[in-house]
Order: sequence, then C-alpha cells, then structure tokens
Amino acid sequence: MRIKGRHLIAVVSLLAMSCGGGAGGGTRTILVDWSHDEFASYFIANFPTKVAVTPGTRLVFRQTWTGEPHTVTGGTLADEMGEVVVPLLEEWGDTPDEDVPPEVFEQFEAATADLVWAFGEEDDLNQTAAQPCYLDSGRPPADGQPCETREQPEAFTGRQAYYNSGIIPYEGPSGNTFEVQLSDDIEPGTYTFYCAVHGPFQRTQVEVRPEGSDVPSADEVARQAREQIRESAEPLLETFREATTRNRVALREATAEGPFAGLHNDNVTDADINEFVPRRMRVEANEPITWKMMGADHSISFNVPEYFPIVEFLEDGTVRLNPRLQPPAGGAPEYSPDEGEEETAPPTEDEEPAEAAAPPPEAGPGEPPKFDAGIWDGGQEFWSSGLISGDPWLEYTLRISRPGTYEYACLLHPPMVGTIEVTA
Amino acid sequence: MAVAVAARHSDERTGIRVRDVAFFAFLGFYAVGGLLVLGQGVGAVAASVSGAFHETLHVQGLGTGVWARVAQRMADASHQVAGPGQIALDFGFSFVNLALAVFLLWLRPRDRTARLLAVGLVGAAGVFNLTAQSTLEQLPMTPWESLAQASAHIIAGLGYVYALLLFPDGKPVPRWRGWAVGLLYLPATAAAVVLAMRVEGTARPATLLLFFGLLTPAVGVAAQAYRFTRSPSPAEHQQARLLFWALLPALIIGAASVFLFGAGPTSSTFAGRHLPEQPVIVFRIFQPVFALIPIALFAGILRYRLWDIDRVINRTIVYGAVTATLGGAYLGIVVLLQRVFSPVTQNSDLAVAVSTLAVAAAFRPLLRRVQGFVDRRFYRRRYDAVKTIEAFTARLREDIDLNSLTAELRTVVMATMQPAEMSMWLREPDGSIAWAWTHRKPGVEPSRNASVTTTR
Repeated sequence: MRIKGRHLIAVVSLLAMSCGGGAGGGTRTILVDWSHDEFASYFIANFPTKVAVTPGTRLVFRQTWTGEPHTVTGGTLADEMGEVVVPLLEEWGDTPDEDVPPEVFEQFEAATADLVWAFGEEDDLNQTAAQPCYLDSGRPPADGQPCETREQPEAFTGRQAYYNSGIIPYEGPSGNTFEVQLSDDIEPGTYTFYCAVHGPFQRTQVEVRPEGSDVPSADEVARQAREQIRESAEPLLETFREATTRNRVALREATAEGPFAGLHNDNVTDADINEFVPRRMRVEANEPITWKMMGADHSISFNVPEYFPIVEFLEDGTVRLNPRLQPPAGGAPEYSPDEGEEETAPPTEDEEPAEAAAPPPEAGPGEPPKFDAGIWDGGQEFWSSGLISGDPWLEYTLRISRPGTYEYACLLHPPMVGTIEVTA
Repeated sequence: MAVAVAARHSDERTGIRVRDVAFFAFLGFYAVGGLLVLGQGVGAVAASVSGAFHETLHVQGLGTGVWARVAQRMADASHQVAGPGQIALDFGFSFVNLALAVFLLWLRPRDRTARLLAVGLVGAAGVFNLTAQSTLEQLPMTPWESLAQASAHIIAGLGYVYALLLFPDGKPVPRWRGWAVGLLYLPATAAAVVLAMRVEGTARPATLLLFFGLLTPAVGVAAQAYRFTRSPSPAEHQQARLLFWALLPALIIGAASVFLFGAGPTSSTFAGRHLPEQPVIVFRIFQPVFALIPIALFAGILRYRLWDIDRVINRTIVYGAVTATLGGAYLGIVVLLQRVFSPVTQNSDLAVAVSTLAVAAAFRPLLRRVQGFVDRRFYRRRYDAVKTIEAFTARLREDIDLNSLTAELRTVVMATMQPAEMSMWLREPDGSIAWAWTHRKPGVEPSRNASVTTTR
C-alpha cells in the first residue's frame, strides 16, 4: 500500500496529540505528601499547590506512603471554602499563631465550620469523609455515616457538590494514586482539592483555563512541585544534617542531643523527619537509652509484625484506625502525658511481668516530659511503646538487659527503622 | 598424491543456520536488557555527580510510565552511590564479563560451551553490579519487572551452570545415556530455577549466596573433578584441573558465607517495609570470587591453545602492529607534506591525499613483512612447519618414487606435527588397503587412533 499524504498527516496528528506537552488534555501529576530524597519524612502538603490545566486533563494525585493517611476532596463546597481560606493561608500560613490577628482565625473557622473532617475529636473516623463520597448536590451527611454514592464518577465536572476520594488505601510501599478526570465541559475557573484528614492546609488549587490556552507542561508542573518541596524541606535538611553529624537539634525552646526518634524544625509547620538518628547504636546491657521523640507520634517497637497502615478497610467498607497501632504491647508501660503516673499493662500468662517503671518526674514549664519505660529483656515477642510524643519532645528511656542485636521500628512510619547492638 | 590429516575442529562449516540466528537474536535481546540495567547504574552515578541531571531525573520521575520509574530509580539510587573505588570494582567486573563473553563468541560463535558461557557472563555482568542493582531496589517491583528479573536470573544461572558442566568439549559428563544424564542434571537445574526466581528483596542475600556461592561452584567442581580424573585426553585433564582450582575457592567461600551469614547480612525489606539497602558484603565477596572464573577460563584458553586462540593472538599482534605503524606514518607524512607544500599552497588536501595513497600502497607489503616477523619471532615452530610443508609440496611434483615419498612424508609429519604415533596405509591396485608402516615415539604405547590417510 502506498503511503499517502493524508496518512502521514493523520499519523503525525495522532503523535502530536499523544505527546500532551503544552497542549490541552494530557496528564498532570500532583504529589500528595512526600518523602525527601535524603531522609524519610512526611509533608502535610500537596505539591504543587497551584496548577493550571485545560478541560479534559487527567489529574493524578500521587501519594507517597509516609504513614500519614490522606484524602483528595473537592467540589463546590470545597471551592466556596477555598475562596475564603486559601488567601488567608497564603497570607498568614507561615506566621506564628500568636502573631495572627484574631479576625483571621474567626474568618478561617467560619469558612471551615461545615468542613467534614475525616478524624473526629476522639480520633475516631468520620465515615462520610473516610470513605468515598460523591454528591452532585446538597451536603454530605452530618451524622458521620457513609454516603450512598461511593463509586467515583467518570469525570469531575466542577459542578458536583462533594467529590471525595475517602482515605486513599495503602497499596504497598510504592505508594498509591487517585485520579481525577476533568470533564471536557468543565467551566474555566479555580477548583480546590484539599485533604479531609489535614484540612485546607494540604491543598491544590486547580485553575482550569479555556481549551487551547497555554498551560504549563507536565515537566514544568513537576519542576514546580520539586521547587516547592525544596523550599519546604531546606530547614529540615539542615536539621537532619545537624543531627547526623553533630548529634544535636536546636529547637526554639531548647537544644536536644541524640539519639532521636523523629526530628523537627520549628520553622517548618507542615513537615517532620521520620528517622531514628543514629540508625545504629551500640550500648551495654542495662545501659539506659534515652530517645528524644519529636515531631509526629512515633513508637519504639521490637519484633515488629509485617507493616500495617494506620487505617484498615473492613469488608463492609468501614474504615477504622488500626487497633494495633496505638497501645503499648508486650508488657511495655503506657505513657500518658495527661496523667502523673504511668500505667503498666498487666502481663499476660506467657510473659513475665515488666519491670515497674519509675514515675516520671514533674516536668517544669518548657521542659520536655520524661518517661522511663524500664527494662526490656530482649525477648522474641512483639514489644511496643505505643504511639507517643511530647512537646517539644518526649525523653523516652529504655534499658535492654540481654546482649544481642535488635532491630526496631516505628509502627506508623515505614522507613523509620534502627538497630541496637547490646554488648555484655 | 595428496596428504590429508583429520581436521581437529568440526565447525569449519560455512553458512548461517536458523538456530544461529535464533541464538544471537536471543543473546542480543538478553544483552540489551543487561545493558539497560547497567545503564541505570551509570545514570545513578551521573546523577550523584551532577546536580542538574539529578534534578532532571527527579522531575522526569514524577511523570507516569516506564521511563518515569527508571528516572526515579536512578534519582533515588544516586543518593546511595558508593565511592569511586567501589564503582570501579562494579563496572570493572561487568566489563570483564562482557568483554570475555564477546571474545568467546568471536572465537567460537557456534560452540555450545562458548555460547552458554557467554550467556552466563552477560547475566553475571548485570547481577553482580551493586551500583546497577541498587537502582532496581529503589522501588518495589511491578509483577512484570519481577518476572523480567527472575527470567534474567534464571537464564544467567542456567547458562553458567551448564557451561561449567560442559566445559571444555561441549559434551556432558558422565558419558551416560541421554535420559540418565538428564535425570542427573535435573536437581541442579531445578535448584537453579528456584533460586534464580528468588533473587530479590529480602531473599536476595540468601539466594545469591546459595546460587553463586554453593550451587554453581559445586556443580562446576563436580563436573571438572570428573573430567580431571577420568578424561583420557591430557589436554582436557589439564583444562579441567585449571577450572577445578578456580571454582574451589568459590565453593569454599560460599559455604563459609552461608555458615556465617545464614539468611544474609542485610535485607532490602524489614517486616514489609521497603528499605533500599543492599547486601554489600555479599557483593564484595562474590565479585572477586566470580571474577576468578572468567579469568581462569581465559587463562585456560591461552595456556592450552583452545579454540584457535593462537590464530586470534597472531592476528591481533599483526594487525595491531600494522595499524599502529601505518597510523603513525600517516600522521607523520601529513605533517611533513604540509610543511613542504605550505609555500606553494595553503590547502592541506594535497598532503592528505598523498598520505592516504602512500598508506594504502604500503598496507599489503607491510602486512606481509610484519606477519613474517611475528611468525619467525613468536611462532617459530609453525613457521618452520609451513616452510617444511611448502618445500615438500614442491618436491612432490618432481619425485615419483613411492618409497622415497613415503619416507619423506614421515620425516615431514614428524618434523611439523610431532605426533606420538603415526601409521600409513596404502591403497593397492586392486582397491584394498594395506598397512605400510607405523612409527612410534619411544615409550608410547600402541594405539589404533593415530593414522595418516593417503589417497592416490
């Protein structure tokens, strides 16, 4: 068959259409959370925070699994909230709370009053937000029950009232994605997508421009995301290097010395480092190890089971917090910052009673709380401090009585692992 | 009268067979896959050096599709690139393996053992490059990627195992019936497949230890020990001994490593958490150990003049010397003529043209002279043998006395080939074949195999 001119034109056109460079349509990737190149971290943020596209674009919200759950929530209700909240956050987001005018807080609270948060006040999960929910009109249920419509529509038209992914399920360490296909007839305008777990602090505003408009290419959007990550992460990188080279971290209130379970920088409000620093330690038997636990909630856990995420999805669609995450295990004493004394979990039939931990001394104002977890005998059973934290950090002390090499991990954050070599 | 001596090699057939095409197509495809893996390692190294390239890879990695995954792998792995010494070890090892694979196929493109070895060497070049392998561990593998990796490992593993079983003559040992040998080889084959499929993630250290530290050298040691003790051929006896002693350290070190490390010194996952850590110790132990095998093979080929290596070396020396001489002469003539012609013309084209003609004219005469020099200097025996046979051939045209001819033939053959024993049979006028004589070196037992066939 002879190749004719029109065949070539058709082929070239198809190729041009499939490239999706600066032309309309195509795919744009928006990062949900991020783990830095040089250290494990979480970011309560989307990158980039603003992206311009044309109708028909497929938005790929790509979540890096850092341990934090997220949703992608949009719709007209989100847009109304975003019109008020986003300018406030852009102006005051980096300002310390004590320096923010009260009226700003009032406006923020008013605009977010009807927001459906995935986590309730008791840390239970609101099924409306935790499960997928798609409403063409009206408001989501106020009773925390799941919506009737949980199947994602083919396209996001911009006219749906509530467009919620639910908590994006954990699909393994490579992360997961949630895709939003913009309809071809979506009206030009700005559409806000936020996280129902962390609120509008974690958002991306999608500006839809008319068909044929000039919009950034996928590479340009990626570069923009990388640039925002770099800006956000720079203070954390300094903190990480300080901790790994000089074994100390300077916070506003005090300077902490390692070892560390997590790291924090006071100038960064939406991210922390999820690392044990140093990753390997050598101590003598019964020598106290005092971790400075800072940043997010962490656990010190030995003989950990296969990794499980913070939320689990039951067969009936219910989403719940994983009950294995929070409490201490294996006889570890429970730390409770609201009470003067610790509680010790009663030993089971098979395990020996844990050593009684000394009651924590009174922490003075500005002093970090301290907790002595006593002695762990280095047994084969699962042992966990439970998820704990303190402000500015919690000093968590443990002694290991049996020589050996022990790997330990934080149950919540997957790459957060360490090794302790205990010598006689 | 023509003298024919049985040819030593059987692959003098010309013509391309379908299975040759199939093999080289397969090897090409396999090698491309290996080079892609090595290329990722190079990319990671480049990204560790160049901030701009590193950032570009991260940007590309935020896309979708195969290239995005490759880019992200290289970008993430760039943070774990080791120092120059370890990079040199990794890529030096890969280069040695790839170069030897190419060399073996160039020597013996149709030899079964050479082909199997080449496959094993190409596979090992990728498997034992820690820098390249670390890129693969940055992201959990998709099912397709796992399948591709497992397939690559199986092919490399089986290639190596069977090459060591068949080296050097391409025939399996022991010399049993086909089904019996197949049954004997089945456990090793099955073990190779199972282990090769498990070389990833948590199982990587243990399976590398078991496969390359135990299975491969054990099979090779057993096969070469058998040949060493039972082969009637002195040459094969020596070759087997060489490879046996090259494989034995690998087996000892492998067994010791399994004993010491058990499941492996590090894992790339911990309780289901993906951690891009590599079993560095395993790689550093087995890279030099497994470099011994191709080095021993190469030494064996050189030492025992396998696979016409003499001819290859001879050609390499001759053509290398001719190329260097003519290249230097070409440059020198160009420079000289440019100076000579510069008062007359600014254009250097004349100098270049004259130099080119001079080099072209000098090529054949120089080649003959260099070939003769190399033959006389390094291949004296062969040189003398050729001369002897040329002289004998000339006398054949003049001397028609059968007795003197056969006596002279005996002298020529003894001088050029130094056989342990030679016999002559002559065809009688009635068509029958009659034994004429046998000449044997002192101390050599009689054999029925040595013969010189004459036709008239």
